[in-house]
Amino acid sequence: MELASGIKGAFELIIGLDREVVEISLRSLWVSSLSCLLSALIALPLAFFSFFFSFPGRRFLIGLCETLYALPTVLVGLLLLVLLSRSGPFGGLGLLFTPWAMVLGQVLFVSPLILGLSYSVLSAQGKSPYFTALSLGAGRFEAMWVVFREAKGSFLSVLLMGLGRALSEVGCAIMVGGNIRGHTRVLTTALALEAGKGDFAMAFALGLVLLFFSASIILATKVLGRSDRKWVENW
Amino acid sequence: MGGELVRLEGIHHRYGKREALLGVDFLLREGEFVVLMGPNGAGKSTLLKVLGMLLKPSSGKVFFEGMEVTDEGKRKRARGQVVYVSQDPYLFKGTVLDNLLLPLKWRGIKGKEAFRRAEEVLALLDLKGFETRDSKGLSAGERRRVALARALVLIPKVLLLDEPYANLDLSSIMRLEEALGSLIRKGIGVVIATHRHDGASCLQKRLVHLEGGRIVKEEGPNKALS
Repeated sequence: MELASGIKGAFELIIGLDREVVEISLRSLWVSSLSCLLSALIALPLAFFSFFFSFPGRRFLIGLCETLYALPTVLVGLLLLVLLSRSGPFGGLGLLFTPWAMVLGQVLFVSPLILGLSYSVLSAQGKSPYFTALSLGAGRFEAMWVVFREAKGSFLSVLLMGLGRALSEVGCAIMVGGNIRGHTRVLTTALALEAGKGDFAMAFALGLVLLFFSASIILATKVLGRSDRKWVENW
Repeated sequence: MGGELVRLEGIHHRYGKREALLGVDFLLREGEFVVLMGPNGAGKSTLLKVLGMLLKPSSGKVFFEGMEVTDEGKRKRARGQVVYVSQDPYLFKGTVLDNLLLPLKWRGIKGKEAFRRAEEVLALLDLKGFETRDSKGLSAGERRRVALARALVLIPKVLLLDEPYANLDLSSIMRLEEALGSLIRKGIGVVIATHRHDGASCLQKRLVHLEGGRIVKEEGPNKALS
């Protein structure tokens, strides 16, 4: 009975565009999108650099990133909590329990994922497009742009996977965000809280929104990656 | 005899511990046609990549039109005059016409002139009507012809072709030879690597035999550097 009334209440909240559900959903989206974008800005150039240039520790870097795919987000949260707390080395920045701390945390565990998967995309594609472009008169950066363009569907899929990981994590968001109402409360942390309180209508509403986001990401990943999915086999 | 295009002196190249080229001297002049021959692993493709300025040799000197290519800037400038077509050519996503126009854009040729050149080369290689075909939907032989068209459209000073006769039928081979003949007459230096002796039979050529990364024999009208 609780399940049925919870789901019914959840639909009423969603259809009625409940202010809190909308606010929490939008915050989740912007925090995760920003962290995903920042991670891409860090990880994509590193993936290209690691693929096209040889340097000591390259294999170690890629191996490390692959290991960090499964990095427990609570561990990142704990680390950041210590670093950003008032007595910690970066306490003076006043970032703890703000959305920026949540962005920082998500960047820490999304970047290795984007770097590792982008490297897999590049490895699956090989250096043929790069050398072909170079031999036809492109500069090095133009040739790298060609490589990106040739597999852009796969790279976008990688970014969406990063977004999915950021949206669905809960441990780090609670530890460094604090789940403060109207300030750092996001879908996952709010869902955990509302379920604990017994407000199943709200919990299901947040869960459904999260499910909608995840399903949209998976669908987009499939559509974008359809044309160049070789890297998935290599992964 | 035409002027000097590319000259190699004492080129060594290794991939890890494997020596691919061992002290190769080579000269290509304007309007010269050179056929590199040898078994698999002889170093033909590596030599072509060095000639194409795509590979910096482990040691030795590379000259383009008499100037030593010492840094990336000079290598890039020389690369602007050289086109290399690999044995398994890669076509970019998009149409056949896109594949021809993009390299022209990189070399600063756009608009009507770019379209005119593309149409001319497509006709030369019997690819009329292929303009709007998706490059990823072509057969191996068609891909190779498009890659050749993409190389010819740039009117380079040096054209390097790795196994150009692979996957081509007889009429395509004849058209290719016709096209090569006209390029050579215009003063373009052409080097092809092949393990087949029967290719390019009707064109005057210099045969360079490679084995174990060394030039072991040269035959033909203009024996080079030695």
